[in-house]
Amino acid sequence: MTNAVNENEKLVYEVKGLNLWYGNDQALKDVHLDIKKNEVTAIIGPSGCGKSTFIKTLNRMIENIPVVRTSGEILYHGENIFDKSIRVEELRTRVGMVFQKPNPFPKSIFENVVYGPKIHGIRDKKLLMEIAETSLRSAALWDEVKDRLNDNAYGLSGGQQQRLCIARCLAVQPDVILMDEPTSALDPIATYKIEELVDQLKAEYTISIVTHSMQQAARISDRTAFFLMGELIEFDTTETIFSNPRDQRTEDYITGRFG
Amino acid sequence: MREILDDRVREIDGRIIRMGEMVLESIDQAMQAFREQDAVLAGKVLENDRLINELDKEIEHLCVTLAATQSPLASDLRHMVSVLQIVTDLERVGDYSCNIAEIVRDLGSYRVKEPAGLREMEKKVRYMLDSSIKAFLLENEQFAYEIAAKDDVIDELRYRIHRDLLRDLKEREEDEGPIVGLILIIRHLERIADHATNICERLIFMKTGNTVKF
Repeated sequence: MTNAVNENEKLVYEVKGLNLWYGNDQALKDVHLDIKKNEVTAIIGPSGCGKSTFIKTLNRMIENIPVVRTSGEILYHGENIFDKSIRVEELRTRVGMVFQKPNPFPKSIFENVVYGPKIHGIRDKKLLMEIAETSLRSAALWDEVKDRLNDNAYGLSGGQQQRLCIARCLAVQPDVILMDEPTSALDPIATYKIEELVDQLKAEYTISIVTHSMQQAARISDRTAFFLMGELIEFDTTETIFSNPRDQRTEDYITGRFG
Repeated sequence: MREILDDRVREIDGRIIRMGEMVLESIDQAMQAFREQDAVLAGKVLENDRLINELDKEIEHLCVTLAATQSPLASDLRHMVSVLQIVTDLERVGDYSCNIAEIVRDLGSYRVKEPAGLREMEKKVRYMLDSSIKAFLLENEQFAYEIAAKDDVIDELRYRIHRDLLRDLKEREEDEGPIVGLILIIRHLERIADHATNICERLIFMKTGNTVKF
């Protein structure tokens, strides 16, 4: 690959001078940030600070909103994702996403997981079954659903549905998983399971997670980025951010003095 | 959320003030008992140590509750961790006062001549401890450096008194009981100053996140 150097340096993303506007409103201001391979990068900040906008830019999902304009570069394995040569569908296959509210399709558990591989042309039933099992196992859901793969996904609990969405994301063998507040609609036990899962998945994937829970960021991430009004205020190891942040604004936010 | 956290922190700091007062009083009483050869007062020091230990446990409990219910982070987290260490320092100081009180009781009616420099040492040690607690509560980092710098003076005083006591023992053939007792007393006072220095270190950690060793 052309990005052998970046592979060695273990940088999956290099964000350089990223600006983003919704019409005339600037939502991201000159953001510089690197995301390392096999790490969990947490994005925190008050509502409206641009954190969801930021991760949705990483797979260009943000472009589904028509008035969005961007400038700057996002290098994904050394290649600028805004280049004309980049195929957005392929980028989104490599960079999967899990949302705040579990959003399974109104289909069976099995069909949800193999939806992506089927679109990519896989028809072999045995292979699809293998993919379903591997993905569901990786998402720590297999044991709970193996006897009812043909049941409708809507019959699962919220936490199970979210893990199903993660399995669906894994089925197309992504490289990066973006998570936008994946546990905000879940109870503590379901949240705990997702957090455990994130910790396991980082051995094979690179994960970026937007969270409103400071404790969650502290529990599961390696690095934490603090955004405020579209600016990246501080980006450091999670340990530093939560024990001794350098910037007073970070300190004020995480100690509940504003936000 | 912030108000609850601030209330709990104030509650803990209030206990630290109380514990500091009790510990300083224990030093004062132990040294007074030594000068006046007052075994009853020495007994009171030992008795009061129980209260100091109880306060130590109480503050620890408040910190655990704070951690469990308020999830302190950044400066709040460092403050809580520092408090936990400082109560251990204060509790140890209380133990040194008890050690001095026990020496007073053991010496009984021995006639003990107060060595030159002991009063000065006691005064300086007391000042260091009192100031370190105040600096912590005021979060005055600069003050912490100034107080910690005084530890060398204490070490020097202890060395001088120690040397004089050994000389007395050799040259004047004085009773060894009181001399050994006095050597232990200055040792305990010097250790109290070390704990005051520890408190200064905790304060600097709380303010900056950096661990310094004086």
